[in-house]
Amino acid sequence: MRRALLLALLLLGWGAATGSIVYTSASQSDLALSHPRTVAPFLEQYCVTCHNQKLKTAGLALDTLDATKPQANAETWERVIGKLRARSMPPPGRPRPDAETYRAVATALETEIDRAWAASPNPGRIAAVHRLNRTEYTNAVRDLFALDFDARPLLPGDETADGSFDNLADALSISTAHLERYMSVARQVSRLAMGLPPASPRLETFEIPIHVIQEDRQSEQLPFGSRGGIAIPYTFSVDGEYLIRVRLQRQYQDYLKGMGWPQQLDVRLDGKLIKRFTVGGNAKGRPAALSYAGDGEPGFAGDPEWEKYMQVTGDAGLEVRVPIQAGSRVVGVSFVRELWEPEGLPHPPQRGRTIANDNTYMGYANVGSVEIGGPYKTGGPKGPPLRDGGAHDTPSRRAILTCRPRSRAEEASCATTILSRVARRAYRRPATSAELKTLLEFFARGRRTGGTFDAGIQLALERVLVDPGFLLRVYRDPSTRAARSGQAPSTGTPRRLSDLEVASRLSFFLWSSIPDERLLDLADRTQLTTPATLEREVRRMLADPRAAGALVDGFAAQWLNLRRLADVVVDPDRYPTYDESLLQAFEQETKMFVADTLRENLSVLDLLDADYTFANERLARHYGIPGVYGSRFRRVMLPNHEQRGGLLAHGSLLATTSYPDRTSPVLRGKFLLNNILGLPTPPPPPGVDTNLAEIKPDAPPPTIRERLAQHRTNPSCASCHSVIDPLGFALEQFDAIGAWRTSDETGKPVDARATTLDGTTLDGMTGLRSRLLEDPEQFPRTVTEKLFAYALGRRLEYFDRPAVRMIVRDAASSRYSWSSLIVGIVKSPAFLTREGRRAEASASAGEPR
Amino acid sequence: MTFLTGRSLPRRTVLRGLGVTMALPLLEAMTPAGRSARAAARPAHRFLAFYVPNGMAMEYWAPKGEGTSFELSPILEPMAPFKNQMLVLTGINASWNYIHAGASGSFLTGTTRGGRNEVEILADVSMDQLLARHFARDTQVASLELAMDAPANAGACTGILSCAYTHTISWRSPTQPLPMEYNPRAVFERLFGDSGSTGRKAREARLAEQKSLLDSVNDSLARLTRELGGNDRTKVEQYTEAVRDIERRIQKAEEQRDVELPTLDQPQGVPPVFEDHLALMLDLQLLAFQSDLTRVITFMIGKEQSARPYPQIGVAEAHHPLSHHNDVPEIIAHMSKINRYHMELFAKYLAKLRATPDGDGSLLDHMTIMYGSGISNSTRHSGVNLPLMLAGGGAGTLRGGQHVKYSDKPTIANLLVTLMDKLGVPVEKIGGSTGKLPIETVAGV
Repeated sequence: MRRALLLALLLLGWGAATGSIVYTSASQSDLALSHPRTVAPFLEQYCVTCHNQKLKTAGLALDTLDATKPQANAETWERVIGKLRARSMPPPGRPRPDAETYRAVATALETEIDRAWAASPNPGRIAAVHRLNRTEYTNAVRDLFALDFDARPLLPGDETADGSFDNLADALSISTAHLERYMSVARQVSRLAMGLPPASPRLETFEIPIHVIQEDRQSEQLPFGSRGGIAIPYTFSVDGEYLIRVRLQRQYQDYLKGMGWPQQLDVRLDGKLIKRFTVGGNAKGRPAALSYAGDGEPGFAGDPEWEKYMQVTGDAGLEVRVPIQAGSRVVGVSFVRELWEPEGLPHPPQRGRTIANDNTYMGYANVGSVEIGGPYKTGGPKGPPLRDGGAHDTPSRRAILTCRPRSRAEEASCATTILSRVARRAYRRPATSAELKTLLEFFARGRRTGGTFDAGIQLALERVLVDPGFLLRVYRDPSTRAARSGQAPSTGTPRRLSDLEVASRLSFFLWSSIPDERLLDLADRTQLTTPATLEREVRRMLADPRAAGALVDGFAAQWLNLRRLADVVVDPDRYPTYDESLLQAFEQETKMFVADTLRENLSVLDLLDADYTFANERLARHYGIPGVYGSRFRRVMLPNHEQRGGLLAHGSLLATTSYPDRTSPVLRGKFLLNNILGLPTPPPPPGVDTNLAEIKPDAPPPTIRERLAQHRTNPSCASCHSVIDPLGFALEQFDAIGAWRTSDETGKPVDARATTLDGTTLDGMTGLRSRLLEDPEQFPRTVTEKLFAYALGRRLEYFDRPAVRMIVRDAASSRYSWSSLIVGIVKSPAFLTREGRRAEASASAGEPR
Repeated sequence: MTFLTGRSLPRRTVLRGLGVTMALPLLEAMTPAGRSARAAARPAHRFLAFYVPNGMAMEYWAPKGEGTSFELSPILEPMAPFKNQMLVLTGINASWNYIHAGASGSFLTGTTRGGRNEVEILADVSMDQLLARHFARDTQVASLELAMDAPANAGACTGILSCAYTHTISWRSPTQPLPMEYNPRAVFERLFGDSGSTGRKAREARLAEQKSLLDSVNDSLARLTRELGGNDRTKVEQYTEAVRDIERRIQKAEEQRDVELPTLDQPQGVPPVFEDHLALMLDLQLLAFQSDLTRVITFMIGKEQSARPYPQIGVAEAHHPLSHHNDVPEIIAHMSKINRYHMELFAKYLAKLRATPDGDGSLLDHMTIMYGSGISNSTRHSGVNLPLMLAGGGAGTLRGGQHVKYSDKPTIANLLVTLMDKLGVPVEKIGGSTGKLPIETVAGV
């Protein structure tokens, strides 16, 4: 009841603040009245026995701090609040307060700190220089040039850490390797965008992993009634002749699969059939014995002509050379579906790259890889040959060439128009006259060496893409110049970011890309940062499809470990229903689910407790959901809410926190603690033997719970693991690939009950789920913390906690909808202001050389 | 010297598209003319670090016997043809033992420290970078940092520390870990430029274009530096340094225009099969050494904490979880297959290095290769008694065919300082080094 009252008070107070950048709230002081009565005796009773001046356990002495003024030592007290909120202190075995007391004390401390913060918020100081990461680079190129070009594999990896993001300014560095890659990619991108032919034809191969089952329609971009294959989005840089070559999948003896009968293989461009091949059914002579195990068994191989067909000629000549017009297209390769089901015992895919023997002959043929090569002969497929040997008309050329010179005399002015527009968007501010002059010099150089207007523009665009103004987001202190000349004192006073800086912040936060014209226009007129405009723009940006895409790929994929799915290894002996399609389905499910909550602006609490998910037949079968057929993902209501519903039961989460051959309550518990409860866990202390007790060969195998018992008995393990392990135990109803199970690895019935540190019992996934929802602010707080760090591009510090609490409190009235959290972040002082220059300890910057 | 225009060599395509690797006989025929002329005068001493992740099955690594009379262990067996050019070093400890981050983080830095959170990235300058600073005067590419894993994705790094610690062994400054390149195409472009050809004309035109781009970027950077204050400039300075590096490389390339580069098609991307990918990465290293484009390479056959399975040798389990074997003998035996497999692949590489003539000997004669892991027993995260081996002739500075045991528990930092001496670039200290290690030198060279 008391909790409800607190919440109501907060809502009242903070509701008034919504919609303005005022960070104070009168009602907070009411809460603080209870402070002296609650906090001091609490500390005396539960904390200072260890955390005192004499013992300084964990470096913490609370007896010398003034608990009535926690704002004076906010960093320490925020640590204390964290422990109280998690109820992870006092340690196991010591007397503990009840849940209500925990909350009251934490709230009392928070209230004081928040009040001091509201009077004078510390927005922190994001690093002055913030390099674009690979995703941002790729998206910026897309938005600048209307070009689908994935630069990510061509650029060095971005610094990151577990539970963190790859867009934190402090961590992102610039090395020689980076600049070399930037130069190379700038050339490729600008030539592709302008439709200039590459120096030489190139050949790219797209391989389908061997454990992707190709028995269904594989993609929305392949026709109905198709089976297997792949749809490849591909940007053809210039009009010209291209090669599309298909190779079929081979099994471990290098025999082509499914060659026992004829099947039809289609090659399509943007859905239109280019060529239909018939493969299979032409093996002559005696086949190899079904039990044949390779070269080591003479006499078991087939006749030479059979062998040759099965190994070499069966998929020779599956290639077409076709004229293709420049632009982004989809190359589709698939089989024509036949109503023929392979028979045989269901068997697991074999380990590694092998496929069982009887798949080979009368099974389906599969596509192994598709190669796209070219351009071979440039020039238009129709009409007269092109002036530049380039492209006729592509979305990129239309986006870049906002004017086209009719004569040589018009070229300079036209180039100026084009380049000043591109530079403004690329640099996220108007280009200076010096910058424009530089770009025009490169235009002239390219015009001279390349001989055409287009070649001039291309070189100038290449120059844009290696400019620090494009690659770096820079925050300038207005006073820098003055401070350097000694005219202004160095202070830490926060300053408001300029409208242009805010425009970039918004677009990199919500789109992982550069601002659009509208944002830049608003910023130019300094109209962007009024509260009403900010909120309106955030909602406009969220409604743009780029937002859900970027927030899912950039934010959710890192927060929820989805990028790790590619590294998941599963032991198929133990999990015969596993195949690679399942891992792909896991990723698809979580991405579509989170994107849906974003698009529909649902409560983030729905992430934990939705009654629907997204699934195709493969995933639905895995989850025990009836009535879902076909490979298309669609929204499905969950008939089994006690088994599924919410992220906790997503295969992606469960598989990325398991070992190849068993579940790991520790990894699962750690993930939940860090990413759902928002509490970091330290690694095991150095020198600690992390071996679990050996499995004795003659005794019955112990369950993982029994093996982990030593975490509880060994004090150096217990302080963390008594928090971690119970969370993981509650998910023991799911096996290592996220399937529901009733018996564990040892064959014993699953025991998914767990007792948390504070004595509460959790029973399985549903128990954990309700526990997480019990305190409605808890999960939104974690989401906000993660999203806040991602939005700011810096790690959160103790002085950000008041802002997080404010955002969450404000969002309560809209039931913690995505947009309420996002708007809260955007309106926070940390997003809109930046701490001024601090006095520096040493004059020399940089590293010792 | 007009005859040294490179016409003496058959120009052949040795690297083709995906996964196709060069054949050894082609390489022998391909000694670049310019290079061999200079090499004959004085063969350069080159350094390679070859990192293997997740520790070692030490029971299958440790050789029996000591000094010159020692028996190769099951893991070391593939090194039999090179026994006279290898030294196994026993008894050296890690300088920073912190789960997996410390293993790779201290391997070449000898550091004793790490960051406290995900954005504090802190170690020490690595040995290869100290060498690179020195050799930068002579070669176009100061150093190459290469790996077999796609760039860092979080999810399998150490604790709350930056993934940098497990994903690279090369540190340019105490706060700047260098990314490792895994894409053969990018490696090709670092070595031979991105003109799409190793032909001289195309290459030179592209170099000129790049020079003008860098000149003008330098102006922009200078403006930016003026606008920023003290500590805010660090990143811009990194950028400026990178520009200088590439400018210097272009200048070198112009000075060394008589060096004939092998004619080859650029690799198109990352081959899907591990061994094809590896072969391509190693062939590119060989070319880089042979053409004297660089003298310093660091290579991780797996990032630390790598979960790569090796089904091709019957190990379908992920490497890192497998290395947490709980000291169960059967699991250790199983994991040792990976360790041995790595050694076999390494020995194949050595065979190519040995078959490549260089001055009066082979490339291998003029190399110091440091092979090993920064952790011994992964399941205990132990940094005691690291699995370490030196290979190559060390340009006369290494007496091979030995198993050296150190009883005074030196850290790897001391080994690094010692190797710097041998490479002719003496330094006072690396990371937490406290002195040098005795390693015999071949007499009279």
